[in-house]
Amino acid sequence: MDEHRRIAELLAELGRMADERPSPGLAERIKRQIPDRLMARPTGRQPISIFIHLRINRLAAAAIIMASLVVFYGLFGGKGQLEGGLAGMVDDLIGWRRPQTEALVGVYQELVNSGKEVVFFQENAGKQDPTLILMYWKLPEGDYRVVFSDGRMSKVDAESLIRIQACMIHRLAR
Amino acid sequence: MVADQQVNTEQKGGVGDQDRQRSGQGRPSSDLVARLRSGDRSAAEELVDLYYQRIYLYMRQLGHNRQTSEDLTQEAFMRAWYHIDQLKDDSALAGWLFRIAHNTSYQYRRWLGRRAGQIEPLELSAQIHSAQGSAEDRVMHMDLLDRLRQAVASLPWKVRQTVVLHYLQGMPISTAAQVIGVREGTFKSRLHRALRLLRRRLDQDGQI
Repeated sequence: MDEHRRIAELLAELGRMADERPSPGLAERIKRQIPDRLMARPTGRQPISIFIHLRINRLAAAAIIMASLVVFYGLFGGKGQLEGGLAGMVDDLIGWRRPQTEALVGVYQELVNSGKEVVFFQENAGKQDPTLILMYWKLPEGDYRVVFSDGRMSKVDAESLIRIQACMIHRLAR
Repeated sequence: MVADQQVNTEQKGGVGDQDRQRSGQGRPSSDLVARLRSGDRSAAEELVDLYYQRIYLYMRQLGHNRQTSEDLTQEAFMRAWYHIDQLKDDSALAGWLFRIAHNTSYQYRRWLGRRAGQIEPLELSAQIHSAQGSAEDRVMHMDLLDRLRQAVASLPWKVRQTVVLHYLQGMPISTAAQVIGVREGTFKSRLHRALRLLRRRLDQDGQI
């Protein structure tokens, strides 16, 4: 046990001797990432969670209405009409509007015409993938506005943008 | 057990005092937790100033290289901002932050898997605190500490993190056990195993 005690003392000494410092700008880099409101979700996640939440609620409502319609049309012989317009009805009911590639290209053109330097990933248009960036541009205060391929937008700082791009590259490489 | 005796001596001094002695950083203001919980941005900046070096050292002591340790430190704080609601009281501040740091490191290790590289040794101060006697004695002592450092780095991950938290970071067993999410008894048995392994390693070198 004396040997254990000796090792414990040496370990404590080793802990006191740790003298390595991180690079000088680390504290500032961490502070720059402090959000305006600490309780809020990260910039990139909040829209997703709200989006999913709304979508789930709407889907639940839509499912109930759809089930009612199927029963109603089945009883009264209108099944063919129902099948034809089903997709459109679902879209109308849940308010699901996918961003159109043409419209997004138009947005891109407008931004470029207004003098903004926009990075545009045309190959991601229409993919409806929340992890893929469609375009981004720099805002006057130094942050970036990012539009994802599912039409969602986020304001992020430079480091977050790098992280999002790294995730995107990693995903595309798989 | 040595681990039990160690925790008793630490409780006398209080973890807060020991933390400050070790980090050389200031005392947290009494209302820091309350300000953090209310979403005060300046409180978050104060928290960074108080703990960023300790979290960085913790990452380094766990075996991450310099760049990764800085990245993981940033990541840990980023996560902390969105888990303020899990911070319950003033006494739990260090434990809460280190738990987030621990989870960040653990997830990175899992992601890294077998690609984990060689451990980059942590720099130690040139001053030898407790060494006394001749210059040769001091050099021998420094050499012993260096071997001990290598031995710690070679410990299995679960065992190493108990040594890092309790001995190198000076955290009481109760808090350290919470940080890694195990019971105190489990933590103590890991510490005991760590000391046994370290003794065996140093015995092989004829150091102890």
